[in-house]
Amino acid sequence: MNSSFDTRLKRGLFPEMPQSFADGLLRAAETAGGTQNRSAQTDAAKSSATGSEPKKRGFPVGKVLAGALAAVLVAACVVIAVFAPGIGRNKHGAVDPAAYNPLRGRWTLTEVEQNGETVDPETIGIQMQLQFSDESVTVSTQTGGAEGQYVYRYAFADNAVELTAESGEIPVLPASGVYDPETNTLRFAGADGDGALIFSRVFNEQTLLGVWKQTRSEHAVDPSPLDGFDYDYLKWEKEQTWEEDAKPQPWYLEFTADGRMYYFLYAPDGGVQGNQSAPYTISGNTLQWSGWTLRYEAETDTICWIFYDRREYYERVPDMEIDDPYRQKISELRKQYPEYFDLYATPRLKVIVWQMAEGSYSCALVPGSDLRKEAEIGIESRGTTIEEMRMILSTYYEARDCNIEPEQVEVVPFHNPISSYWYEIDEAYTGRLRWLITGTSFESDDPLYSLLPKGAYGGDPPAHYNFRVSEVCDIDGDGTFETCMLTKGPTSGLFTFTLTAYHNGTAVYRNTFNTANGYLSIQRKKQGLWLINYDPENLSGKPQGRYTGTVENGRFVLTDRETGETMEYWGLSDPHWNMN
Amino acid sequence: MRNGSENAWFSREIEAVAPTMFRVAFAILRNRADCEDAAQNAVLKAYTHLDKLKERRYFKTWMIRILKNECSNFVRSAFRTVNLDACEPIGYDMEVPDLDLNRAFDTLNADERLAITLFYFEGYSTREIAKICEVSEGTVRSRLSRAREALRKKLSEQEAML
Repeated sequence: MNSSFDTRLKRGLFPEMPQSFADGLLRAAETAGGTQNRSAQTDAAKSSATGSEPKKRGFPVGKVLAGALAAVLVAACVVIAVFAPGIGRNKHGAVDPAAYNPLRGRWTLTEVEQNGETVDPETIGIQMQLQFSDESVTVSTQTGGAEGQYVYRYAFADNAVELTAESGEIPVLPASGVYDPETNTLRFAGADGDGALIFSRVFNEQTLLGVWKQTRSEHAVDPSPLDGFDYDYLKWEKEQTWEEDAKPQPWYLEFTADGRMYYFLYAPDGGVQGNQSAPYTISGNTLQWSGWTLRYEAETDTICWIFYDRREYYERVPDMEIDDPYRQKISELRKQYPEYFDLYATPRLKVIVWQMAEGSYSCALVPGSDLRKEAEIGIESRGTTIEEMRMILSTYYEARDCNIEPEQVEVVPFHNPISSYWYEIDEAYTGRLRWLITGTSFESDDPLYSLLPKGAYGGDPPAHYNFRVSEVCDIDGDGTFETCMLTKGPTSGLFTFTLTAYHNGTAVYRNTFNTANGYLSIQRKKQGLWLINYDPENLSGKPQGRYTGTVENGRFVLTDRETGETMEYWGLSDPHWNMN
Repeated sequence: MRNGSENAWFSREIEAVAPTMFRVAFAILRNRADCEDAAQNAVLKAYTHLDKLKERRYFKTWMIRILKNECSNFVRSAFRTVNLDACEPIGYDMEVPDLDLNRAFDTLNADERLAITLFYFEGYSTREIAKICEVSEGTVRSRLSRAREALRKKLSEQEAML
């Protein structure tokens, strides 16, 4: 939903509240107070007159219901104790990956090695050594040496792993890898010849609470088999047959502690097709709710209820990432600014930016639906640097359930009222900030703000081409992070490009280079970055240039990874060329 | 028995929350008369059960939940006796700013309309909406997603007809 639609929605949906509406409410409030007081006074007066306590009116339905409920709970607990002795264990405790229950076909990714010792060196392409819960498998991808990011779908059967590429290689994530247990999909970044890849480890707290077998006769007499369970969330899943269309569909039911049930139908593409909540009844082999009827296909008189307590999350800094300073920094930020992580990001996020002094930017992050004024958010928020905010935002771009891209991040600068520093906020100021924070294009005549376009050669590069022109990395190895931007060179006719490193909005390193015409991309490494140059006429082949980017003596140095030669500067080699 | 200061506090809170109550009720019931009835019933119930409100800072959320349930009762009782298919298109007994938008909004079900209202107008998070509506957070997201898609589609259809 775009912003114009939002505006239309907010302006056009509701009429103004009629004064009579508010008056009616106040009258009701006053009446309620008066009525209750009068009622209480009357009871008190009667009590006083008769010398007895005021009596409660009517049949004591509450007491009877409470008694009945208690009886049902006791009975249910007895049944549970017999049939499901595991219920209640590991409910809110710490996650223990070793205790992960693979019953439902989910695995914990424990180790990744690329082109490792056990991989056959004769095989073409990237070799992945993956280890899932002691089940090791070697994976080969025919990438022709291209760098890219890939999605694979797994099918597990009899402890064997079958890996099939899904429509070739698909770029999905800017960095790292995530295993998505919902879609049984592993997403990761591949890099030819590089070291171990970065994966996020998936922890799954799904715990089998118990298996409860019922006979049909029990259905008939016990319409509420969940009474007595100590749960926040229970799930029952099975492929069954809907009477309405007689087509088997994957689905599951959720039973929540408030006594209601929710059902979810999954569409073939994995999305939720529909859901509904309703009270339910069970009769014989039929479960009914809100017009839907589910018929059990049990061949015997016994059906099986499987109850889980499911808690699932991603630990984004597993042991294998300890060596990656970028991931370490994100882990630190998660502790330092927990309020900026795991926000509800749909349909967009909003970054509020203010300046307290020249070159000192502070950023705060809120959901796009936050309707507070910028000043209000700014005063109540703790500010991060631009690089920190970019790292925080990257967790949303990578998250499996956000669908947030840099284009959906709104950047809103404002003057913080607690600062006396004044600066002009205009379109150019906002555009440059947005460019720095999200890495999206910025309309400017200055080539220093013109990111190298994705379609520079008359069309998008192929899917496996990992097109990145903006990265946060520690380019100079000083322990702080810089934002590196790859932009057009100031020439026409000669292929030049400019690499600039910014620290919290201020350019700290900048050099312009002259190289072979091609698609350029930068990629963050543990130290410094990589620059890759693809021949636009041969994008599926080996890159025509691969360079390691570092900073030496205050200037960028791009070193060819094969020949060891450094790329030539264009124009002045002064590292501070046009830094203002 | 509540004392005068409590009654005054209750009245003040009701006055403050009235605009939100109007939007919530109008989102579900779509006409002024029912909105007023449902909201006044909700106020009476809230006062009666005020001792169940554990923390006063949650009064607004609590009030919305009561109102939502009251509106649902209205909808249910109306659906028992009225065949909506046989009705003429719904008219509004008050002037709405954007008629086309409201027509599109009418095509959503009450749960979706409520989710849109709480999310976009009242600024609640999906987690808070889930608590108010007593459904899972995933359900709220699903409702919001469906509602947005349906509104977008309906409005584009309307624009295409012009």
